[in-house]
Parts: sequence; C-alpha cells; structure tokens
Amino acid sequence: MKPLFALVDCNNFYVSCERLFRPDLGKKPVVVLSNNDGCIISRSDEAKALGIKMGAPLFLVHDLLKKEGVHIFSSNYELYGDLSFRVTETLRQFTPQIEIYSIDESFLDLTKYFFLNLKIYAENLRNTVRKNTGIPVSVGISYTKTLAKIANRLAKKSEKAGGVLVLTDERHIDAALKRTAIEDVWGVGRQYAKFFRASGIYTAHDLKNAQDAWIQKHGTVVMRRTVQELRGISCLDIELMQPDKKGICTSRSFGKSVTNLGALQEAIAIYASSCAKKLRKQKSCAKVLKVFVKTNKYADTLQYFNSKEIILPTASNSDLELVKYATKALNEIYKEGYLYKKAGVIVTELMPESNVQLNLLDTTDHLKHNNLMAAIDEITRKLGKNAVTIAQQGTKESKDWHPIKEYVSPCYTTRLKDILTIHI
Amino acid sequence: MLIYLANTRKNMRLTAGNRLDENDIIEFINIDLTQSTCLPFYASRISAGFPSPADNYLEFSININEIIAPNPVSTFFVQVNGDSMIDAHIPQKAILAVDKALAAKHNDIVVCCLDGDFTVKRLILEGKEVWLKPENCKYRPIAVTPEMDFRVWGVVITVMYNPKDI
Repeated sequence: MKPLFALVDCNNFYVSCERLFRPDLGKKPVVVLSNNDGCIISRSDEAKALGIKMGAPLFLVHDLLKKEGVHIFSSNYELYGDLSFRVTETLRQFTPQIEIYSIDESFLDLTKYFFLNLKIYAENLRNTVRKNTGIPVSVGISYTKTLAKIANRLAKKSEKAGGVLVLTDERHIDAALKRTAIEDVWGVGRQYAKFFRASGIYTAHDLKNAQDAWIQKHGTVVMRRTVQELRGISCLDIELMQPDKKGICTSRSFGKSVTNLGALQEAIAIYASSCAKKLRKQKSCAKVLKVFVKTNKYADTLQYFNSKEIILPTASNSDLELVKYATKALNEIYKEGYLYKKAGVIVTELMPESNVQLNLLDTTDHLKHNNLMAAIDEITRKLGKNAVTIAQQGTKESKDWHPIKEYVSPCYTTRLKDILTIHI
Repeated sequence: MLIYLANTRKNMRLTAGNRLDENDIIEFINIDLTQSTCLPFYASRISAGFPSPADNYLEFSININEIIAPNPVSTFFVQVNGDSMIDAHIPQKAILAVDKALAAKHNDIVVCCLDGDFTVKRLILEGKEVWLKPENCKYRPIAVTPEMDFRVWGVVITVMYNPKDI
C-alpha cells in the first residue's frame, strides 16, 4: 500500500488566534511580535500586502505600521497553545495517526483512507477545524511528507484551491514541483539553496530529476532522502509519540538590561524553576545543570559571555535543588560592571524519575522534596501559575527586567479573569 | 477514581535471608514507572471480616463538564455585561458556555459579531429575514440587513450565574 500523508497547517496562526476574539480586526492588517516585542513573527494577509516582511525587527518597521494603522500584538503563547490544542484534538477526531509537528502544523497518516475522495475528506476536515475553533487551516495531501508540504504551500497560495490541494496524479505533482522554488522545499536551507542554484537547480522539479550520481556525490543523507521524497518514495514516517526531550533550556532576553546580581539571581531562579516543572511534566530528572549569561552583542558596550556547568550529586527535578545549584553557578560567573541582556538555564543528562541512582553522600531528603513538589504542582493546577514560588524568584513588583509585552492580549481561554466580556 | 500502578521490570530477588550483591541493588532501584496501567480504585480497605458490599460498584465522581460543556474542544466561555437578555435568565455578570461547532437554529441564543462588535441575542429566522431579539422589553429587536457585517460566532449552551447576582 502506498503511503499517503496530509499536512494541516494553520493560516497565519498567531494572527488568527488574536482575531478570534477581535471581530473588529477581521479585514484589517494585523501583526504579532516575538518574545520581548522584538520582531514580526506572524502577519495577516493584509499586512503581507503592505510589504511587511517576516522577521522584520519592530524598531525598523514601527513607523510604517503606525502610518498604515496596522494592529500590533505581543505574543500570547498561553492563548496560542490552547487553540493549538483544540485544533489538534479536532484533527484526532479524523484519525489517531497524527504527528504534531509544531504549534500550527500537524501531519496525518491517511494511508488507510486511500479509497476515500480525498478532496472531500480534506474539505470536511478544514471546515470542521474552522467550525470548532475558528482557526482557518490549509490541507495538502500527497504520497510523502515532503510532497504534502509542497501541496499545502500551494493550497494556501492559490485562490482556486480553496485551502485544499490533493497531489496524487503524476502530472499534477510535476506541475506543482515546477511551481516550487528550490528554497521552498522542506529541508533545503538557505546555504543549500544557494549551492543548488549555482548548480542549475532552481525548482523542486529540477531537484527531483537531478542525476543520482550527482546527488550521491554532493548531497548529505538528508538531501538524498528529500530527493526520494520528491519522487514520491516515502522515507519519513509519522512520529506518533513525541520523544521526551534530551535537554531542556529556559532562557530569555531581558526587557531592560540588567546589571546587578540580585535581579539576575531572580531571573535565574525563575528559569531553573521552569526547568524543574518541565522535567516533572515528562517525569524526568536532570543530572547536569548549566547557567549562562551574556551581554547584548549588538550594543556598543563591554561584552561578556560565560557559562558554568554543575553536576548535581543526585539527579533531580525539584525546584529547590535546581534553584540552589543554578544560583551557585550564577554566583561563580557573575561579574560586575556589565549590562546583561540574556541569561538562561539548561538541564541535560535526563533520566526517568524512576531510574535515579541515589548518592550515599547526598544528605538531601529527596522523598520530602518529591512530596513538596507534588503539592506545589497540585496548587499550581488549582490556582494557576506562580501561586507558590521559591522566594528567590522575587516578587512581581521587583521585575523591571521582565520581557516587554506592550501589546499583549488577554488569555481569553485559559484564565477565568481574562475571559471575553460582551456588552449586551 | 483511578490509581496508577507501577510494573516492575523484573521480579525483585530481594528476599529475607539472601545476601545482597551489587546486581541485586541495581535491580532493586530499577522499577520501570514509565509503563503505568490504570486500575479501578476500590474504597474499602482489606481487612478481616466481610468485604463492603459497595465494592461491586465502581466509584466515579460526577463530571460537571458533561453538563456545562459536553464538547470542550469547541466550547469557549464569555461573560456578559448588560441587562438586554434578562428575561432569558442571563443576568449581569453571567458566564456563558458557547459552543462554536453548533449550527445556529431559529430561536437559539447566540453570540454573534455585528459590524465588528460582539453581542448576545436570540436568533430569529423568519423566511429570509434575520432578527436579533433582546430578552428585555426595554430594548427593540435588531433587523440584520445584508449590508451589515454579521456572523454567528457560537451558540450559547449553558448559562451560569451566582444567585446573589440577580
């Protein structure tokens, strides 16, 4: 049986989420900014038409946005995460064979549905997601993941397609590949695209028809796989289970540069605590903890970067333990007189909670920690994030280094106090 | 109620009287908790005497979500401010569960967008005419005309309020 994949991709996902609760912005240009209000990471079609580029730094386009009356939002991942969950849950009603590829993209394995009218199936799927969540999606279907990506891209671009494109006919596949520039092929990075262009390969179709010997000589394993996929031979399967993370990093740029140790300690405590929570969620413990600090490399100030790794006596996922060692690591690398722009905590050497080897010389009462963390998680579940924190994480008032979120929308779907109020 | 039961990967060989060697200790710690199994939980404790006759009945707690939002994926909550729907038992500050997936029918109470603003009204479909009817005689029904930007956002399925608020 020939495999069959669908790629379901939410259109301008972050903007679509914001618009769901702002019907007044239906046809208006809207953009969403990255963390710290740095760059533009999502644009409505109207904003794209104004020539606003993806990834453009806010300070460069701020005047243009103002002049054109573009609505700006800071990113609200709480809202996007909830709507993303609703979208994938809706997709699960269609098939359990689903791989959540990113916050706004999922692959579906439709191999067993080959006998269906795929166009009608895809249209039905699209309408159901729209009805359940209000989020518009595009669907591309073909024999491999790479081809499904290409189908999806064209489904989005072409008015005629109406958000759905099924590529199962050889002629249609070839026509689609000819319309796809080499840099728009999944897995082809900018450097590779340059190299391909220099070698006379301009489109996906050119790459599909490249000579095997040439690909063998110049391509990596990944590239050979991409060529196979373009030829309709599936090399990438659906990954149903998300593998547990091998390492977890929590880092953020500061809204305002930080100079004093106290503020850095607060930030590091928050990041370490966040790592601990992520570890507990996947039932892992970490053996190694690393802290890094850095100054703003774009600023004309004294530059400093340093990091410190600590091996924990016993692998842990306790807030208390991780905060303790993270603070210790920070104190060793902190130097006075620099304007710090970013800091982070990385935990690695993860192992299942159940496999932790106890250390005879370690005097920490781990059972007590586990009970405490379980209690904290329960309180968090009931009362929301940050109901209980480690004192080192500081108070709300003290955080002038917090990421800037000037244009953030309410968490309409995840916080009771933020739900939409309708004046009737 | 459910509890999680750990599977031991291998049988533990630690029994009284055996001497411990290194391998035993490694196995002892090596309990695989990643493979958990759901089991029904019975309330009464095992003790000598008669078992509780209630043990034949599994314990489930009432899931209020089944009433408020049977379809959680497409249900959103909103709060109202205003008295235009008071006769439909929607007082000030009431929280509404709104199901986006339901197709709105005649006489449904709906959340809709009218020229860029949200409102909550009773939907009246008469032939080709569409009306939005308030449930308070102080207000007049709104005729929806083709030049208006009108869209049903979702259907109100549950109204929640604190009796003290009425």
